[in-house]
Amino acid sequence: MKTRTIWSVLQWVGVVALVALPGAAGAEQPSVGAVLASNCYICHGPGGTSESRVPSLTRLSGKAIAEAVREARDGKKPGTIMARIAKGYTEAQIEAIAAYFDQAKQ
Amino acid sequence: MLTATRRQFLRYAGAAGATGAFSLAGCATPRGAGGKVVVIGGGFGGATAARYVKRWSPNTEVTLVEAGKTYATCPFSNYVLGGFLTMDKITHDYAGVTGAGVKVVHEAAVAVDTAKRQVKTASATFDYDRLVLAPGIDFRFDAVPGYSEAAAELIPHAWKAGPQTVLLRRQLEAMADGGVVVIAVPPAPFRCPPGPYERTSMIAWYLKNNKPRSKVIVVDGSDSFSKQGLFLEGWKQHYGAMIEWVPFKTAGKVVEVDAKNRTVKTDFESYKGAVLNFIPPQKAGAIAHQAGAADKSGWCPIDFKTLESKLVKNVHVIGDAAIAVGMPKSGSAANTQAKACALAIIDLMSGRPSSAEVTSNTCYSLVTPSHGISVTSVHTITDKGFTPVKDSGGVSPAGRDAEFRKLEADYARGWYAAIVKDVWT
Repeated sequence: MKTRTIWSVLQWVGVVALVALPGAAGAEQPSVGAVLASNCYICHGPGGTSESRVPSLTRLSGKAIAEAVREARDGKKPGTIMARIAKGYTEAQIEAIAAYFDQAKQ
Repeated sequence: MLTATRRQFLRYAGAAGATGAFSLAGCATPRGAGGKVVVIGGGFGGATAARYVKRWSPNTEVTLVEAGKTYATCPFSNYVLGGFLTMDKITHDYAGVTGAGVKVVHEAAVAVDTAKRQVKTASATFDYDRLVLAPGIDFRFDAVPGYSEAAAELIPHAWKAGPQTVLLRRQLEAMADGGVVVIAVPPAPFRCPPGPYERTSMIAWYLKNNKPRSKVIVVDGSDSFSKQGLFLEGWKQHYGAMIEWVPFKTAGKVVEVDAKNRTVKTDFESYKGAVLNFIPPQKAGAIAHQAGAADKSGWCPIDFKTLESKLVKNVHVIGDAAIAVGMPKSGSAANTQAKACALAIIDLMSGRPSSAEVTSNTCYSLVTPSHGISVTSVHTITDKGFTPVKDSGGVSPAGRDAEFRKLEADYARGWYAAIVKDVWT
């Protein structure tokens, strides 16, 4: 598990480096986090900005998002649907999503 | 675990490799850039695919071919039947898709030439490197004796939102109190597995509040259905004897439809309604058949990792038209398949294998305007299909209080607002 987390962080760093390169405006591969996060948008809104009772993700730090997902997964917080969804993601995937939301805020 | 680690390592190595290529070639663009992607169909799947290819690969030229200038969603169309939503609230234009840099062509795709990699409309021809087919469903008008396109004007299916939804709503409004509404559900697979039962709920809601002596009879092509326990619990709570569900084992197969007399005849029974909502058996949209992407089942077999057709090269099929083993035919499923497909296309156009790994589905239904229920799933893309992640997903818990159901009803509205923005606006 630890290995996966390290690699996902490295991967994220790699993609940031790629985006930062001049001439690479059309970075032709989105990061793992960007792809995974896009599945959140169907309830939490594009980019994680919700205008409904569904919690907005853009106001939260990546750390807070990851923590909320883990709490839902482990049944530490009352909720409806998120516990069932959270159980579908690995620790590395949760970290990648959190890192993406942090990156998107910058 | 080892496989996942290795795959992630390889992907990281790939990204590093690309970085090197950029440094060496200066401002040269990778192979994926400048490619041409054409998407046919502007629903939940197609519009999403077009937007996400453009978002994740801005240098790719993306064209969306969709005849309609607006799209009315099947999700939430049952609330028009329930009388608490109007058609304009579920009808969306393509301003957001155009604004995202996608070229939107409002013409019907009349032919796909997979050898020349071209899509033809009445007035133009579009070249593609990769084509996405997202045509949704068409109806099997010849599947049941007595049924036809003309019959659907008397006994609306309302299974594509639009004029059919309005027609069914008008029939419900015109019906006298004490009338019987018959809903005939086809055998699986069909678009939106919980849809017929949410519709039953919404029609019962309208009748309970306006024509309380009326009744809804569901003549089912199956013996069990999506979110069954939750629907039955909700029906008992809110509608009592107003709803009668007749499973396949009781009614048998539909053998004939009499549109004029609004009657559906089965092996063992005959059901006559003041209103008959006959939902016909379905197949992939016509253009998928013309392109050679559909098999004998009427649906399109795909390679799950790339969502590429197993029958025609460089053609991807997503959403209701695809045989997406493990996923339902739903708007959310089409949306997340579209994102996996967008990623796969960008990878393939850049000379890499598809890195698409995950899809998901979230599907809400209303039993009343303030009683919501849900089913959700997360899927790992494997050679066998979209495999649900063990111990994840599932339906809302049974026996919860009104507050819980209200929260899910609010979340249903939140889901709709969110996905509509993600797809169209």
